Formats: sequence, C-alpha cells, structure tokens
Amino acid sequence: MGKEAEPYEKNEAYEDWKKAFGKKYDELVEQRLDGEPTPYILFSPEWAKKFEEEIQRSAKYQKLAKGWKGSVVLQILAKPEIGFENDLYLFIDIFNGDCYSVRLVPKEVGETGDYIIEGEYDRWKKIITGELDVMVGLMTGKLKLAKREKLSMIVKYAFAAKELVVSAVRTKSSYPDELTPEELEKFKAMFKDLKEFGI
Amino acid sequence: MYGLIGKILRVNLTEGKITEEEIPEELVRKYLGGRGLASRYLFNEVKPGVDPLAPENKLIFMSGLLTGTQYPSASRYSVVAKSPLTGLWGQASSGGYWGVDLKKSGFDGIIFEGISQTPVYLVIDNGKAELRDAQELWGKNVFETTEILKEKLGKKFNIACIGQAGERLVKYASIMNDKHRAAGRCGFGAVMGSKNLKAIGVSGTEEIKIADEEGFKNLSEKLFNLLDESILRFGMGEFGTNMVLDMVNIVGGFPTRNWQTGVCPFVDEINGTALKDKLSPSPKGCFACPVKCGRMSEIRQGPYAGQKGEGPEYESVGTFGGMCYVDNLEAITYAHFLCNDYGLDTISCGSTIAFTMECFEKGILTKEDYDGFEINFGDAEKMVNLVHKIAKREGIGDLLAEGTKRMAEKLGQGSERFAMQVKGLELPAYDSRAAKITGLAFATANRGGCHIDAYVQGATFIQVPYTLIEDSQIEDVHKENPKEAKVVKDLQDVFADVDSLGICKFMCLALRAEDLSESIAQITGLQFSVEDLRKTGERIYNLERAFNIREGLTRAHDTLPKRLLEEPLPEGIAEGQVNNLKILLDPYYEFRSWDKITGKPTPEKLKELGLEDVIEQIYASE
Repeated sequence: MGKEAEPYEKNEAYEDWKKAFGKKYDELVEQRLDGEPTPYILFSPEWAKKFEEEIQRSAKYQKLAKGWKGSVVLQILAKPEIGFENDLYLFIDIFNGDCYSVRLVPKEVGETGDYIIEGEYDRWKKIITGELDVMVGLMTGKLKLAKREKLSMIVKYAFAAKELVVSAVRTKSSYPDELTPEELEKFKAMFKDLKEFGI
Repeated sequence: MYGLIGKILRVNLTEGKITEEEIPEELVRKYLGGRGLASRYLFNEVKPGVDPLAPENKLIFMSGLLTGTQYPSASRYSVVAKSPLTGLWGQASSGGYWGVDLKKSGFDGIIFEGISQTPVYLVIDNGKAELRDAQELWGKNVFETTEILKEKLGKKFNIACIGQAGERLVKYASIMNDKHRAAGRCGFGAVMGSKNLKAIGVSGTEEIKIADEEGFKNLSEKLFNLLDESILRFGMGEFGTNMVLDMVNIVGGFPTRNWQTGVCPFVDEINGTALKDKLSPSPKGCFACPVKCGRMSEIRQGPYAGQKGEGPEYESVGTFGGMCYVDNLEAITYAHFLCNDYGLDTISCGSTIAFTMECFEKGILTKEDYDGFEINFGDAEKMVNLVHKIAKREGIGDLLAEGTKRMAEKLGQGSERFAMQVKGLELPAYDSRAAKITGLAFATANRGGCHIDAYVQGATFIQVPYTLIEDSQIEDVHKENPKEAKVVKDLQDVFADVDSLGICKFMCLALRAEDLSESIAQITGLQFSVEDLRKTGERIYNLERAFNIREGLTRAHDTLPKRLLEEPLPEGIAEGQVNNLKILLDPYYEFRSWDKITGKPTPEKLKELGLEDVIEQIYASE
C-alpha cells in the first residue's frame, strides 16, 4: 500500500493564480454551466468542472490513489482551427486520493505541475472516446511525460492514473472539431474571455 | 537464406563428432527461428520418456530470425531441451550479445547430443568448430570461466557457460552468457553439466542477408524513434525492471513470506528508487536495445560491500526480497550476484529458499534434520549462505537443489500446498490472486510456472493493453471473465513468435502485430501477414504442448498451487481473493480447440496448423 498520508503540499503558482483569478474564473464556470448546452465541449472550463466532479465521485480512484503526491497537468497542444490558439493546460489538483479542483490555467502555472502529460488534441480525443488507452499512448510516445525525473510516482500509481482517465472518459463530452461553424465561432470566442485569467 | 544463416551445427559429444546441417526453408516458414525452430528439432529428435540428464536428451541453442539485425532489441537466442526440473518441454531465452555472436560465427544454432567422457568446451570461429578439453575449467564459476576463456581465445570471443551449479546438476541451474545474462529457467545448466559441456565460445563476421534491406531499415528506424519517446524507455532506463515492484505491491500482488500475503511492508527499502539510491547503478543494454533495462551495480555498504555485478532484476528482488521477507537490498543483490556466478536461476533459487523458510516456520523441517541448520523468514545472512550450499549441494543445499516440487514430495506433511510451482517450475513474483487472468497463464504455460510465456502482467499488473493482439483489455483484474481466457491464448501464441524472432518481450509493450509481421516479410522476402504471424505462434505453441502430451501431460497438470486456489489474500486491495481457475480453464480449452478432458490439441486443430505428423504421435495409444 501507499505510504501514510503526508501533509497536502500546495502548488504555490497555482495558489497565487487562484488568489488573483480563482473567484472570477469560478463565476465564469458557474455561468457557463447554466448557459451552455450539454454535453459540454471537451477542455472547456465547464467540462473541466464536470471532470472534477467525476474524479470526486470515484471511490475507486480514492482507494487506488492513497499515497499519491503531486498535481497532474494535461497539456493539449495548440490547434488553432478548433480554437486552441496556444497550448491548453488543464490543472488537476489532487493529493492522496482527493481531488480539490480541475481548472484551465495559464502556461506559466501549468508548467509548474508535478506531472505534465503532453499530447495533440486528436490523441486526447481518442483517449476520451476510449479509442486509445492512456498507457498505450505513453508506451508508444503518442503522449509524452514531461518532468521524467518524477516518473516513479506515475509508475507506482498506474492503476490510479488510469482511473483518473476513466473519470475523464465518464465525463460526457462534445468535441470542438465536430461543432457547427456557428458553435465553433462561439467556442473560439470563449477563449477571448479566458485571456483575462492569463489563459 | 535470408534472415537466418541457414546452417546449424550438430555436436555429438559421445563421439566427439561435429557436423553441419542446412536448415530446410520450409522449417523457417513454419517456425521462424529461435524457440520455434529449436522446438521442432526437439520434438523430432527426443523420444518420449527420455531422462532429461541422459545422453538421449538434446540441448539446442538457436538464435532468432531477427537476431543480429538492427531491429530494436534483436539480441536474443533460445535454449530448448527437455527440462530436468519439469520433465517436460523447456525453453530459456537470453539477451546480451552471445546470440548475435553465435549467428555471426556462421551458424543459427547448435544441437548437442550424447555425453562427453571428460569435460569439454566448444569453440566456433568464423564457421570452424572444434571441441576442446575443459578439465582445467571444471569446478570454476561463470565469471572466472568467462575470463579464462576470453584470455585464452581472445577478447572477440563471446562465452556462454555453466558454473558449479550446472556441474553439480542443480535442477534449476542456468546457462550464463556475457557473464551476467542468463538463460535461466528450466534447469538447462544441469543438462549442459550432464553432458560434461562447460562452455561455448563464439566469434565471427558472418553477415545476415535481408531480402528488403531498405524496407527493413526504415521499419527498424521508425520503431527506434517510437521507443525513443516511450515511457518504457524512461521507466526501464531509470529504474530497470525493478520499476514494477511498486505497481505490483500497491495492488496487493507482491508475493511476500512465500506468498502468505501480497503486501510487503518494506517495499521502499527494495524498490526501484531504493536500488537507484543504494547501489547507484549505471544502465546497461543488450545488443540493439533502445531501453537498457540492465544495471551494473556495486554494493556500497555492509558485509558484501565492494561486490559488483549486473542487476538485480525485479524477479530477484521479488524472490530473495518479498518471498524470503528480506528487507536488506545489499543481501538481495549479493544473492543475485552469487546466482549469476554459480549459474543458478534466481526465481527458482529464491522461491525454493522461501519455501524452506516456511517449512521451518511450520515445523516441517527442524534444526535436527540438517546438522543444526535452521532458517527463518527475513534472515538475510542465512539466505545468502543457502545460495552457496545449493550450488555446492552441501548439507541441506542438496535437498534445495531439487526445487520445491521434489522437496514437497519428499517432505510431505502438506507442504505441497505452499510449494509455489506449476509443473515443477517455481512461480515468478506476481500473485495471481490479485489479477486472476495471470493464474490461467501460469497454469497453462508450456514450460510450467512462467510469467513471460503469456506475459499477461503487461495487461494486468502493469496496466498496458497490448497492441500485439486484437484485444487484451482486462475489465476487472479481480474477476474471472471467461471471455478473457482468449487474451492468454493470444498472448501465448504471439510471444512464441517473439521468442522465435529473438527480440525482447519488453519491447512488445509498445509494438503492434504489424511491426512483427512486416519485419518477417522484409527480412525473409516471404509474404507474411498478421494472420500468418498468429498462425505461426499458435503452431509453435501447439507443437510444444504436443511434446508435453507425449510425455504424459494431462489437463490435471494445468493447475496452480493449492495456496492460490484456496487461501484468500489476507490484506490489501485484493483482500479475500483466490484463483477460481475452473471458470477460465474450460473457455481457454475452447479457444485453443483442445479436448476439455484430455487436454490434447484436437486432430482438426493440428491439421489446420500443418502439424499432421504430430497427430499420430499424441493419439498413437488410443
């Protein structure tokens, strides 16, 4: 089993960003949760919120991730034609089986995550739709792990990491590359709103 | 011939006669090389009922079809013979550089038959082979033998040899090459020792012909690039094979105290991180390996300080650490080094010592039995001491040198319940109660309690579904799902191919079936599809099964130790789990087209696989 729980180590950059922008970001998410059609678009702030709730609901994840330390960041490489002008950073604030939040964050915050998994949008989509297993993605280089010196935790908690992905798969999603032109324009416009949070 | 050199050596040790034989092209089409080709020769040439240590047993070394090429990890050779540990078909595979040098010496393989009157070693130098007197080497261990022969023959020669364990016919003695790499399982060091064959030195410059050089080069480069970005390379490169220890322990499947539990309380003392911190190992790779999971280590503290060697691998840490309940990484490492030097399989050796510890714990063995000797779980010093005794067959070591199955038969008193072996081969460090499908793989493996016959831990403990087969997703590792029996069957078949190609199974966590079939087509110039690959693996697997059936194997042998079937895991994520093998065995036989009562491959299946000649041999008595 994992070690006894150690004190929750906060990520300073993420905490600073939350202090500056967290409240307004969350208000935006609340608005969008009410206003946007479901299923929410993959990697939108409201989708991230739903993903967070799925992780929090997963008793299996909580059991498997006891002892886990460190935040996970999913880095989605830029794809301007679907609205991702720059790389997106999805910050998953987890510790010892608990999930505190999942939010889009600016690059400089995302890069401070303990475990950063990088991949093209199309590959992330395949993972979310269940076409590509996350471990197969990592094995075959379709997904890449930055900060390799921290590999031991990912390896140790492979079952938990996989359950984290299962939570993402369970999060109902629509996909930016499948939107109508009007929907896509609206989705792209949202990123302008996110700029005020440095995203 | 493309891919293979096209020739084997036949060495009759009784007569001291060496002859060359061509390999029929048809055999390459059907069995590729390595394990498959060697198994065909064994089936043809070793009659049922032969004593594995008698002159009539053959000891066959065979490089793989891809061995020696630029394909990732194409370093391996197989040894195939009737195993003295199981009395059945046996195979062991090893990496390093020896298999490559064998091929370069001008031969794909060597068949040893008979028994030499006096100790000898074989030298092959660029197509010329001769037997030489080895009396001065007899009694020496692997490292010294290798050094003496390199001094005598020249540094360009690569040596495979046995140590004292093989000479003394320890039933799980290994054959070592490149000093530290082991063809470890099934006791072929004892077969080599029984033949008075101490070593084989190989050297040469023979080139391997490739039918489609450009295509093969492109494919190999593509795969190297893929592996270069793979987490496999970073993980194995960083921690070696011991990286999996944490993964196995966290799911409650790390055999501890001879499999009395699956959760080890001191993993942080012996895991990949500990190994890195305490032994400061430097990575070492086999020929053409992009991953480099090997480690050159040095013990830095304690009574074994200053000892150097390669390893320890996960299985050595699993058996000497978890199973023997020893938290001293230095002692584990030294026991592993000793096994390499004496030429002992670390899995069988560590497991047999763990079994002995439990026999003492339960009073089945007492200190009155062997001159006051006693050993308890966790006793690092006595564990190391026992390795010496086993290799030399000293005192109680003579009993342990026979392996757990024979020990349990001798000791009785219910000890067979916790003799952790299948068909006589000791089980590796994965508790199948924590991932049920693993139990089916152990129970049905042709060579006995083996983890890499199906290597299903990839899809279970390591959580990586293979892209080598159509579907290897395991829904819930704690449930016996009859449909998932096909995963074991398909993996067993494709890994028979992998052993025949001479590549490393670790790579297969990242490769697709197409990556194998295309390489075969490119190297041989033959049309070779994924379907051909699947059928070839299935043919090899059924041939090996037929060998075992001919030796008297039945369905009753496809089972697990009672501990796994009846004693629930006491703690951890897999608490309460046992292996319910029955749920999986019938569907497995159905997927295999094997008779559910006798366990024999059906005549229809054998015919479909082009094994018509096998039908009459296994149905002859009916």
